[in-house]
Amino acid sequence: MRRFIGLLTVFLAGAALAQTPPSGAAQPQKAADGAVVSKAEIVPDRILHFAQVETDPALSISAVTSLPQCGSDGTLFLDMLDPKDLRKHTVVSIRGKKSQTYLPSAISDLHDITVFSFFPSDSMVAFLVRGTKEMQGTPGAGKSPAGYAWSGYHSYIAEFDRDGGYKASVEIPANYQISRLAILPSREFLVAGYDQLNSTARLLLLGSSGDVLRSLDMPASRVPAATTGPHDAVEASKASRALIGNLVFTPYGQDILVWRKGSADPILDVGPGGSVREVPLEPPSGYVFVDMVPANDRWVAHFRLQDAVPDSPFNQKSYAYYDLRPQDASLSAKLLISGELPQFLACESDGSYLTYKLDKDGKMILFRTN
Amino acid sequence: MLLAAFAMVSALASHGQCAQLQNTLLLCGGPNDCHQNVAVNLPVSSEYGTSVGFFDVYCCESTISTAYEAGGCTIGGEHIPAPKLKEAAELEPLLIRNCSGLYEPYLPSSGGEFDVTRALSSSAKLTLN
Repeated sequence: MRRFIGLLTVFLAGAALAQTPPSGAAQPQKAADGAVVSKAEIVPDRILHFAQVETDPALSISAVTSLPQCGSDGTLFLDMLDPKDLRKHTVVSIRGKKSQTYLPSAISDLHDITVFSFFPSDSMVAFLVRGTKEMQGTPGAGKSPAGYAWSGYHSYIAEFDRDGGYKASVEIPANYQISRLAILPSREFLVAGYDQLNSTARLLLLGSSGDVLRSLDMPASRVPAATTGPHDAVEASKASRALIGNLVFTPYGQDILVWRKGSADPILDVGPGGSVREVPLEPPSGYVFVDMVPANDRWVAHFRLQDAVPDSPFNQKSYAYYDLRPQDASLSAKLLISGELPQFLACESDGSYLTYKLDKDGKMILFRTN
Repeated sequence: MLLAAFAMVSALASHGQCAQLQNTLLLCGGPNDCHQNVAVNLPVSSEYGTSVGFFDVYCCESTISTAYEAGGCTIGGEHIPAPKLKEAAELEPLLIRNCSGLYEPYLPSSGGEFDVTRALSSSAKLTLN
């Protein structure tokens, strides 16, 4: 009897192995809609059940924000812009009923400020701004319309504590026009911007005092700009500025993911101390990459059907969220938002996902999965 | 000396623009649980010589403005990139014209591309330091 059971076990194991293709093999299969898909793309669905979270009832949210950020504790950070004047910023952090604002108008040592971006870390919230420390004069030759000498304008990182108090500004070397910022746990800064001396895009690791520690290699910058005529320098400059404009930093745990809007470039995973890992991204068949969601224990990516209209409102038919394995960006689960909720994920923290919508009065209604 | 510098910068000159726009990816929210990404350009107030126009883009049933290069700096002008300007400015003081038509000494920290040919060819407005 024992021998029979042993033989049966061997037989069943062999039969099971015969039906399991090698890991990662692309075996064509028919999907429910008849389309041929690769076996490697069949990933499990994960249905996200959201429950409403109580928030500050007085909190009004602008209908236009920059992409959301999240703290490692799941605090949501939104940079709210005035829809009538997109240069007016207010950052608000939201965690349950507790909220906190961070106001660029509190940056007392800089004048005529333009806000480019912001980034929250565990110990601070920082704004990337361009402004001047010069004394104001009357407008005229050599002066800005606000009356400050043009030569005094530089890029600065303006630091706030997590309670909303302004601390200090850090000046960035004058030959860089910086427009993207992230903070690494070692308090180094990751920035992207335009190198005016060399007319090129740069991804830089800065020390806590703003000094350039080193330049990081960007996949996109390896593609040479078209050189077809006598105006190449200006065209290359425009291409560099366009590249910077499409770069986005998304936090993943203690790392920063650097990706480019509308591109199939690999994702750059920048870790503590500026360590860099380049990971190719392979969207599900028929989809293109849209954006990454801030997360702390996985990668979460947003894709759009290739044929769908770009920049259209998110919906379940044309868009899809996936969990990705950070080691190789392979798809690990398709995320399905359950119920009558926006098809939008703000961030992920320890396996819990966050989304929100606005009611007709602009009040935020926040939802979180358990 | 001025002619030498003029010849050098003219040889380096190329057509281009002098507006720097801040490219930003925004998240729109609105009625009917709408969320969508929209990319917009914003003028940078501290950028020297910016000349831009605006048009509206759709953002969850409302509209927001995005900037474009109005081209005010390119009309009949010749432009060279900042590094080449810096080289020229090291030879002798260099006067440039901004988009407002004002002439002033070139400072490398100002950055951008400038209408050098026009400045140098308009001798009545040249006042070398």
